[in-house]
Amino acid sequence: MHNILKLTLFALSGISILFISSCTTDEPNGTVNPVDIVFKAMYDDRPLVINERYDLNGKEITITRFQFYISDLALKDGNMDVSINEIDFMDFTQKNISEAAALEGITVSRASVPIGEYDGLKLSIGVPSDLNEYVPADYSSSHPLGLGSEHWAAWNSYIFSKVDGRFDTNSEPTVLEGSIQYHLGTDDMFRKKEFSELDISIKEGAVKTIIIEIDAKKIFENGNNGYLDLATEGETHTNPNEPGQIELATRLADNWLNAIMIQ
Amino acid sequence: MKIKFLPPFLLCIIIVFSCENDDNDLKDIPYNPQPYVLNLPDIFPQMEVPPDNPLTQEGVQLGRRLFYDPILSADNSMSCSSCHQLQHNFTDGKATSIGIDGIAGNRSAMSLENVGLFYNGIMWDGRFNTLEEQALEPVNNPIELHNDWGNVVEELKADDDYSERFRKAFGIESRDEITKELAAKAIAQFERIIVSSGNSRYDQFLRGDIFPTDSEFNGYDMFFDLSTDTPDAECSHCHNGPLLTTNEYINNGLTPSSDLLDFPDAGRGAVTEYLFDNGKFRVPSLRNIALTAPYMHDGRFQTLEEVIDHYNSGGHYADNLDPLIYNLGLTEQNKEDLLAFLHSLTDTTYLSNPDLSNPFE
Ligand code: HEC
Ligand code: HEC
Repeated sequence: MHNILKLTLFALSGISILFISSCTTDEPNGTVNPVDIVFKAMYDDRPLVINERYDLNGKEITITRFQFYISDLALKDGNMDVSINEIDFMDFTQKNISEAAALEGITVSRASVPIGEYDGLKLSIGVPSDLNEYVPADYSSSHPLGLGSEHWAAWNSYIFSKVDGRFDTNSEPTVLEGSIQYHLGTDDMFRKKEFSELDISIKEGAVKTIIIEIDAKKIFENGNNGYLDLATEGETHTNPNEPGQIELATRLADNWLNAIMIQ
Repeated sequence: MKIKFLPPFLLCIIIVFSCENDDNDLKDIPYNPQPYVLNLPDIFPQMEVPPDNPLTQEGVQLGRRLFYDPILSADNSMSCSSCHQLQHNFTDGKATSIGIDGIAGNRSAMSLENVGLFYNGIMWDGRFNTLEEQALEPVNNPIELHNDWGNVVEELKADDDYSERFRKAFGIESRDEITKELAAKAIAQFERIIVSSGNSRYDQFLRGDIFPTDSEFNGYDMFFDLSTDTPDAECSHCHNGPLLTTNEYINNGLTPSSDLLDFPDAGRGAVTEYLFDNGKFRVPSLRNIALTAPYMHDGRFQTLEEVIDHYNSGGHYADNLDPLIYNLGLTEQNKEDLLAFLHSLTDTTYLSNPDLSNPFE
């Protein structure tokens, strides 16, 4: 009896030593600090509030849904990446219900980032192709990829981003007759963004906060020609059977890259 | 030494004696719960069961009795199964439900098929997060069972069969430990075994076992916006995945309202207290939809034809009307095809699971 007990205790302490040492080699004490990356959705220079009226090229519009996946969020130190987060779902539809909430933003945290100087930050909009092979049923419902609402079985892809809204089509502004629906998905719409020549210094002490803004208005840009014509370019589900939808989705995916800015 | 041990020894004897004289004691009944194995169709997500309420044979069987037992209502006239009837795919076949006092509510009874798999809140407005929480409500609700849990628990404690079943399911040692929370846990276990068998024509088609009729196939094509051969009906953007629901809260344009404050039933907005959620309801699953008329949260449509006509009309404007709701321009043939697809979602085989039937019959 006693011997078995001793043996178990011995084994247990061995395991815990293993645990402790694996932690220390990974993140030595005193050489890491927490980092918060705060994402804020904006419309031009105003915080983006769901169902507020905004101006787009002289027309009133509202945004009623604003959500997207970010993946491979990492700080860069030369060629070395320090991962902050593999995949996350940014749901501004539920978050940005008031100006105060919008200004708070959505925070992605990593408790222990090695202290040091970083010169870049990268992230992608969408779900990378190796993860895009899965379906929500493969995950628990609390996992970002477990959301049944963000996957299209029909074209075998997660929906990388959704921007919905309404726009005015006449001079009577109480009813916004037109509808906007930009749902991007499939591997071709995956976009990588990289910021370089940054000066991010992670020191021991207070949480380091980095703010990233997404300007929804930039998603509506049309190259150098002002803004998209919502009457004819107000909708895409990236339906592979409809070339027009793919073409518009591609332009929108590129616009997403311009919409993301670091403060 | 010996004297020191005497008092505790005496105490033990006293306890043993007092236990023997106590009818409340259930310790003699063996407690050895057996896991209940759920067989979900392959394409379904895993069911997330709360760690403190795993599915057991004993728990499910206790929950099944409570679900069917009118003991839960004030006048012993109704049970959960009065409004969630197996032969109506666990709905009541009425537009809005009527409780024991003959008062009609303003909402239609929801099917319980696959209810253990809805992860974004339950009820039309998502006001409960777990089945355990929800199961406590109908008993006290004046327009449902209009009883008092205190009474119900007293009746359960007085009942030998129930006491034994609570012991076997949850390991309680005395009748005094029977609580409404344990009753709710058992009911929730029973509800979690109400799952589809995955044998609808649609499932068989997805598995490659059959080929649908032309009409079913065209409806399928429209429902999922698959090709340009048929018009897009946009349905799958809200009714998607293996359960044909995104579990989101949406205004699908049913009710005219001059502004967001004007909806007769605020739905999701009453729960979140967020104006933009007013008039939104949870997107329901469409499995076995042909069996659960009337339709929508208030049972306003008698038939699936009326439902399709609603979507084809484009619905009523509100600031939060979903952009997927617009005049679809479907022809009569298109509508028939869509209907044929909705009928291909019917599968009653799961209802013959003997664990789902009324144990008192
Ligand atoms: C008088 C009729 C009535 C009785 C009795 C009744 N229900 Fe219901 N049930 C309803 C109605 C109506 C709804 C929808 C209510 C709403 O959304 O506000 C509902 C919804 C539910 C839901 C949500 C389903 C979903 O998909 O979200 C569950 C679970 C449920 N009931 C379980 C029970 C249980 C368990 C009992 C017995 C303890 C019970 N009900 C008794 C009428 C009834
Ligand atoms: C924009 C999202 C959306 C779209 C698109 C949509 N639905 Fe729905 N559907 C809902 C919501 C939300 C409800 C519940 C509404 C309520 O009761 O207030 C619902 C309810 C239903 C119901 C009634 C279910 C029940 O249990 O009473 C049926 C049937 C239905 N939809 C079929 C369809 C079909 C067919 C299509 C395509 C023509 C479609 N839906 C398109 C969101 C949608």
